[in-house]
Amino acid sequence: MELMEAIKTVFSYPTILWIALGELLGILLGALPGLTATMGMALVLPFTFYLDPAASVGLMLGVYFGGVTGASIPAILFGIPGNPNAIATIHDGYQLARKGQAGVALGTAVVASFIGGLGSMLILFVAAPVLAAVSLWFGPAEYASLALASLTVIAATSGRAISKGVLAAVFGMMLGTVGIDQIVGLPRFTLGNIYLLNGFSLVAALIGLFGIAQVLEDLESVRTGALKAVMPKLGKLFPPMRYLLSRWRMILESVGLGTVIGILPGAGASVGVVLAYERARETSPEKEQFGKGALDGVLAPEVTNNACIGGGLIPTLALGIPGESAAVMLMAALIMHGITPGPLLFDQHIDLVYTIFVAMVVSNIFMLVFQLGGVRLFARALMIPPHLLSSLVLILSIIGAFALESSIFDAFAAVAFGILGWWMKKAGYPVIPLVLGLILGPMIESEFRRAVMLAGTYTTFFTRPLSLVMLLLGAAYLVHQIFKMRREAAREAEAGGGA
Amino acid sequence: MNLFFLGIGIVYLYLTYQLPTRRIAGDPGISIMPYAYGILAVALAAYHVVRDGLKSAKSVQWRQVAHVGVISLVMLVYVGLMRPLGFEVSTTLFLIAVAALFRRPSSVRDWVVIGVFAVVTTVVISLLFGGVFNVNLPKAEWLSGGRGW
Repeated sequence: MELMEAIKTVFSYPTILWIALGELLGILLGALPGLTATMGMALVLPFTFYLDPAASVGLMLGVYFGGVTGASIPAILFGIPGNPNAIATIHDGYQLARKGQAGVALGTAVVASFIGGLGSMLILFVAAPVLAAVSLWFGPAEYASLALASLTVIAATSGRAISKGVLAAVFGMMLGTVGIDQIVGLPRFTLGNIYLLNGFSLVAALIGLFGIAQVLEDLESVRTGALKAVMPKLGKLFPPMRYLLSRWRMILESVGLGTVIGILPGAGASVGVVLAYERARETSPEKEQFGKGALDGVLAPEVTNNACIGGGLIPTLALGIPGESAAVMLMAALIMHGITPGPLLFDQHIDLVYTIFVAMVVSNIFMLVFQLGGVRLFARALMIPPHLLSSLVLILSIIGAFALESSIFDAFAAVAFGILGWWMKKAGYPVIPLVLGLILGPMIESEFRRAVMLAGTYTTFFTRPLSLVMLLLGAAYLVHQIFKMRREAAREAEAGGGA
Repeated sequence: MNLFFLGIGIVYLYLTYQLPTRRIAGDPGISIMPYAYGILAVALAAYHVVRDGLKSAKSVQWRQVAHVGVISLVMLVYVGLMRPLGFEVSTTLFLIAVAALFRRPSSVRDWVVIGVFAVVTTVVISLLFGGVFNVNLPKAEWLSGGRGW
């Protein structure tokens, strides 16, 4: 029943139009080097405030799917990754383009993305309600432990130095304490500024850290010259059906890998595509062609990067804990409409959950149609002068931050977060732990205090089995990462000494 | 950056110390987590300050920092001028300034392209946000008798 309602909602006007617009915008942004799906979602986030929840989610999903898939266009045609999701596609996609088979490579990337997105959506459809039902057993202690463990894993995975990732997460949690305390109702760290009573605007922070910071980071490459791109001939677009059918095992493996990587906090699609590429290199019948133009080298990573989307949405929707930045954007869009992702979402807003599932399917279909139909047009987007494009992103970022509350303070905050994001990246600090600290910090604090108030003791986190398991898993992962990084550093030093 | 985090951590701990101690029964209080965050931030930032020393300062590309500084300043000035000048004028000027800073125009044609881009973008954004989304974009104080928006 809910499914039929969801189908009706998604296919109604204007929801369907917003999904289509999001998809077009996503592909365009994904095709432009330096602009990521996350940045696109940050730019459209303020717009979603003016739409109903279904249209908001549809728009965000459209940008997400389009952005991830659009990145394969510059990767294949020009050997430039539109964003990190396409790093593995370059190896063979660009080689195929140089051999005059750019069309088949692009077609394979699009069809693979479609299969990956759809496959992970089916897993999401089955797994998310089960996980949400299980998580209804969670009390405040389990929630605090789960959020802390997830944040620890993300902080330990995000950068080259674990301590920098942890410091960024702690800084995010510090920013999350600004505003009125959720339990006692007293203002904290507002410095007498009334604009800070509700804390920092999440939208301003996301726009600054992912939109403005990216433009500042790309400033030098924009200043030093435009992208000199020459359109290669595309040829035929569709991969042979026989080829796709013969690779069913590789496709299933890539869907599974992408979904699992998506579920794991902090792992991200860029890790997934490299693993999928390596796995395909081992199992492919054309393994000797890898690096020289193997179609399997495009197929496996492109299935995986879209499968990560569905995987990433499982903990976001079921537990309210986003594992990566794009899921944060989707969560922010829902929060703006007063809908908090988590187990209760499946109880109180099951209609919206089904709408998300249907919107994912429709987004995938639009992606397939738009990208196959308009690949030449999207490739032309690479010819837009980068200095005008960067100016456009800056103005949309600032106005987007301002628009939500008509607040000059939020516009200033977005610029400040942009400078902070650029500076952090320059200094080797990852930004994602900061964002997740800002989101999960208030949750960790309020659940921690509720757990202590209910149990009357701090030992409750260690005496409740689930809570203890989560804390131990988080700690074990942190220790594992520390040893892993030490081993890598020692190996690098050895190699440097040997050279 | 390490020093920035250290400074923020110390100020944060000081502000935490100033927080009222009022609490409800059983609640660990509003200061407990801020203390934990502050101590962790100071410890980690101090570790990086000691470990990295001035290493990171030496590797800074000052030319790049200067460019980012100028663009950041233009953005801050733009946000500050949005109210006195109004959305349309300030946005057009901002777009011309940043586009010219991103790539210095070398001919009259380049200036014309930037100018047209700035005006068209301002009009489209104004129609989209002001017309479609009903956002109260700042009106020029000198046009609206000093009342802003």
